[in-house]
Amino acid sequence: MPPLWVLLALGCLRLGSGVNLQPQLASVTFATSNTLTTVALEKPLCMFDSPAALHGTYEVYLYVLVNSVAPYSAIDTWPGRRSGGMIVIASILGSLPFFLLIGFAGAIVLSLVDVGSADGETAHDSQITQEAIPKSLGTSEPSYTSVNRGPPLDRAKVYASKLQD
Amino acid sequence: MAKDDSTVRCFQGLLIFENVIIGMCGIALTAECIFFVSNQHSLYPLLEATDNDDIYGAAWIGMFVGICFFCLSVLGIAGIMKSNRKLLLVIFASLTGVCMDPTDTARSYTGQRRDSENLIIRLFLLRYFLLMFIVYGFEVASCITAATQRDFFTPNLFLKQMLERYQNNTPPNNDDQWKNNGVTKTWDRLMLQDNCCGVNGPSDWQKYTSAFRTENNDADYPWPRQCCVMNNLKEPLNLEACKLGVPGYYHNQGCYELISGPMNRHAWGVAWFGFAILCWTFWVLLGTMFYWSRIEY
Repeated sequence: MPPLWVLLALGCLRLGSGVNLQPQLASVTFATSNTLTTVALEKPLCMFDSPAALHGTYEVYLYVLVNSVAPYSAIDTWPGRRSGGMIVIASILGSLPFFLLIGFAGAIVLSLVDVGSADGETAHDSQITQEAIPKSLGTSEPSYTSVNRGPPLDRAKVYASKLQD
Repeated sequence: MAKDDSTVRCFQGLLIFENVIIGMCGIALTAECIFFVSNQHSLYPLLEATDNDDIYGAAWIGMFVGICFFCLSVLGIAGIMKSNRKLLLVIFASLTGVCMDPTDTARSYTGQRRDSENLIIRLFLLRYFLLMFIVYGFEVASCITAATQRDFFTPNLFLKQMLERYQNNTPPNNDDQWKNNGVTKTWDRLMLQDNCCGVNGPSDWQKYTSAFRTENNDADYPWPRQCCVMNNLKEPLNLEACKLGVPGYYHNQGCYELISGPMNRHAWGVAWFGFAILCWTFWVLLGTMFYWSRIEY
């Protein structure tokens, strides 16, 4: 029998002063794997100290009380520790925007540096390009923006040879 | 010369391909977040009652971020293709079904090229970068929120909320009444539909005090009626056996797995898929910034 103390009260009849009955379980299987407060009892045969005879049927109420209920406010809902996945996501994603901004600053610096260093050559280069292209019709040369920074002399040679064609 | 051209063309093709991937991932992220937000499992009231519903906020942000990624990828592709007239021409011709004479096109397009066009393209891509940074920041927030909030989903959280709010008919204010109703309806539906009882089991109602216990005495309602095995008419198969705890007439297992499963999938889906998209977008943005810095003007 699980260690609970059982207060047996007989309702609907006045409790006699000399009642000290021990209930007997109907079956051991009813006591296990259930909750703490449900038991199945055999039909009790009661003895009362009143000699008056009882006629008819009576209802018997059995109250089994367990004195070990915890308040729900005592439940601790703190998760304890952080999961590893959360730390990975937070740390990596938290640092990526900074790397992006650093890369953007680097791109700006790169473009400014190139403008500063290649001013004269760039003007020369684009001028040649603008003069040469309307005359190089019919060629299947792809038309890109001048992304390449090849030495201007080579381009001048190439376009000069095309002009001669 | 030819080698430089092909390198540039290869790089542009790579950037366009990467932006296409971003666009498709954006659409997929939007679809996934719509799926989560539309609350397939109707567990939202449980989170709302504990003020822990930030994974839904992360899903909402992810939805809009997905659409923004799609639009920005189109913008990025347009910006890169603007700097490659031939490619733009080919796409345009194939879309409209027009067969154009290459000589005519060369004359009409290349003759109009100015250096200021490069400047326009640079400004165009600059706008692309600015918008991308903003969307990137929002998606970082969404992923970190989803990953962090998921850690709060412990059995004790739902247990405490269930004991406090289930069938609690004396709330102090309207807000609590709304939450109590939501929690009660959700738990009733959950226990009836998924054949479970309580968070860890029916013993939850026995081990702790609860609002349910103050309304119902222990003898008639050791646990809610929804924990009983029901027949086709949604009535308990054997009420007395259910009350006594006879095995087979009440549901013995807890509902925690059925609650935490969908919520974990929701949170991990938003967090990790967003993480993958952001890692990919990081490299695309670096590549596009390098391309931008090499445009002359």
